[in-house]
Amino acid sequence: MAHLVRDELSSYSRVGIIAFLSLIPVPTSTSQPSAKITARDIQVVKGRPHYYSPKREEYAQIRFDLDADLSPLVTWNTKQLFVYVTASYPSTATRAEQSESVIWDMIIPATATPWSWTNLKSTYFPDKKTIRANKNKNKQGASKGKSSTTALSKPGRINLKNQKPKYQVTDPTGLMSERSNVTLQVSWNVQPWVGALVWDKGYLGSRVGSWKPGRVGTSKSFDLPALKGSKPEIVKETDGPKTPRAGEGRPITEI
Amino acid sequence: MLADLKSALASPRQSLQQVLNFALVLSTAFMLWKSLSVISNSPSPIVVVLSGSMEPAFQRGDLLFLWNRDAGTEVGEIVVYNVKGKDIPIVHRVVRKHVTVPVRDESGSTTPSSPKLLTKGDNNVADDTELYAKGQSYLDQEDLIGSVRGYIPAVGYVTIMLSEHPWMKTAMLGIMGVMVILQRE
Repeated sequence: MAHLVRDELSSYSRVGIIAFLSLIPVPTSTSQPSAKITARDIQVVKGRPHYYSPKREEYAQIRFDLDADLSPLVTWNTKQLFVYVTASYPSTATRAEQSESVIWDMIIPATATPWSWTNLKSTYFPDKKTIRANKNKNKQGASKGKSSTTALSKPGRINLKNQKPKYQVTDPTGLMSERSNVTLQVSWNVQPWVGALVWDKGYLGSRVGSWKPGRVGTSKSFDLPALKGSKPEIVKETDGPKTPRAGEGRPITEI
Repeated sequence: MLADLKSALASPRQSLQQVLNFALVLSTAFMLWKSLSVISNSPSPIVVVLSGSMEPAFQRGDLLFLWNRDAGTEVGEIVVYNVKGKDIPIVHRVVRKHVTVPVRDESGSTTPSSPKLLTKGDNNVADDTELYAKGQSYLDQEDLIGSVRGYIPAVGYVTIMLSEHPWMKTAMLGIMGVMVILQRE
């Protein structure tokens, strides 16, 4: 009975089935990826977008700690893992919509297998750098049987302390100081060898279900400080400058 | 060749049927492409990567499947857009999304403004501000052709080779013509 079914399936349909299977996003292994992020040193400085730009904007530099274990995401179909940290804050309209900026990103490529293109190329067509490095290694007698691979044995583990951000956050309005309710979030994007791309926020397109907020680490809300170097004596008056009543000696404080 | 012509004239119905079959194949392919365009709501639902600005994720010649039915775009999505006035599609990642204050006109109604997006290639150091049209600092949702959701490596390299070496088109047509003639015999 089984071999009858096999004869029915032509080679085209077999290839089609395999191709279809590769398109299905592979579910992760039993353990879920986890991450924890906290903001550390925060500074708001004044700067220019580039050297010749006349406008001056405020930029927030947010340092952070990141502990993440994304190794469950690395499967046979993972070509690279793109991890990125974003800072989101409510826009000036004080609505629920958030403005979001990437402050740091990292690409974790899949470990090269022994027969991969890069490994074959370095074995049979090594460039001068590796030849020299290997010669020095042999001279020092440091060969210990199996050569130590530079690739991580378990890619996906990230451990950063007070990491300097790659990018600084700014707003189209140019104002960043003293914004409140800023949160950091770490997100990931799996790039497959073939098939559908997966983000931490969902599979495939059309927001199957809904574009849920990242299940992976969100930091606590924090506020951005005042502009670096701003005078601390400036008193903040919340209800505008008041004209002093007759007889009062109080001066008008400047906001 | 004359023998072929004779046989074609002898049975005009058969040769007409062959022409009709050929036309059916062409129109089916066209219909499939256009329906894919409608389903994904994108003018160009399948694109080929042309540059190396998204390496190591995308290499030149990779095939990307786009989706354009989502209302908003999230930071971290990979989008394809055309620079205003130019016809070159650029595949980069969204790194910033700014929600702007909605504009209030005289009648008092507010028109919701779409968020401003900033993109950057993974392999580029700087973001795409210099690539945008003069005076444009951010992209709108309507500038996007679609968001990348699927990927097949290296399949599209044929189209790059055909566009960069036009002699290959004539070579391919020549080979196909030779094969058709040889098959007849």
